[in-house]
Amino acid sequence: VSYRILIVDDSPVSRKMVRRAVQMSGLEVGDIIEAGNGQEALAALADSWVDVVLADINMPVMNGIEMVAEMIKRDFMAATPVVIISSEQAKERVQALKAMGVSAYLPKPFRPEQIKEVVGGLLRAKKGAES
Amino acid sequence: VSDAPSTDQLALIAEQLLAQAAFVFAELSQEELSDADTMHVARVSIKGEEAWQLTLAVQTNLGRELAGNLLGIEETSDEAGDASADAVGEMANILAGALAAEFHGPEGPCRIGIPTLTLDSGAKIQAALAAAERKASFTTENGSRLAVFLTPEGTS
Repeated sequence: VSYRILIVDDSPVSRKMVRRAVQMSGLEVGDIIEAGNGQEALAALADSWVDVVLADINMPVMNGIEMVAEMIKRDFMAATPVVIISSEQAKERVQALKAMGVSAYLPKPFRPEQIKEVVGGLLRAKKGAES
Repeated sequence: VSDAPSTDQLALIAEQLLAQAAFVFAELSQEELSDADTMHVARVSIKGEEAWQLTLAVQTNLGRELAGNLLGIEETSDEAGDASADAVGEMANILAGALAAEFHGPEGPCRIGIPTLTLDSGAKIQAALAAAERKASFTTENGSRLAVFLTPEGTS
């Protein structure tokens, strides 16, 4: 089984950095799809199944927090794990995001091993729940 | 007394992050930027109890190097050229996050904005740098120039 991952960031460079880290991780990843903001991400999630979302916070049109809030409202998206990858490190914001149901928070700059550890853990948990 | 990082803190954080995130090794420099230099410039707001703007300006060839190193591609490639301005924006974003933590500590509420990107002359950046209270100017091991400075928001 290979998993589908959605990367959400307005910076193409940042999306490529995350994509590269995921591809280097050795995880069983199939398609990696990209969105430039929360609104595009919601459209992608409505269009096809995604196993994990890796999203920035600060984006135009719809930011990462608004995207998570919208995902919670939609039954078929509410259980999709979201990992926030952001340069914002304020503890109150991290706690608020986790209270909303965000699975994990990675500060930028991240190391590829951190992506492997966090995404790998989420995919293993998902595999365990499905078997 | 402002909570903004001092010039020494700004210089140290910028030097460390450039090396850690983008493998760019730079030393403080007093040499002035000139009109002959063309700079990729990224500006990011940092808002806590005070509102500041971070400016990161790098020579265009260093923008290519940043893109190449961040993406693991040849800096001479077309892809690195296309990504160079965005790479400077991403580097400014990372730097703003580290400075925001320095402003108020991990417990304090602080928001950073979305980078705005421009291409400016070295002389224009040098004038802004001269007026900034908190600033650092560097030369990389390859001889490229970059500058980073903080200004109260709305003044630059």
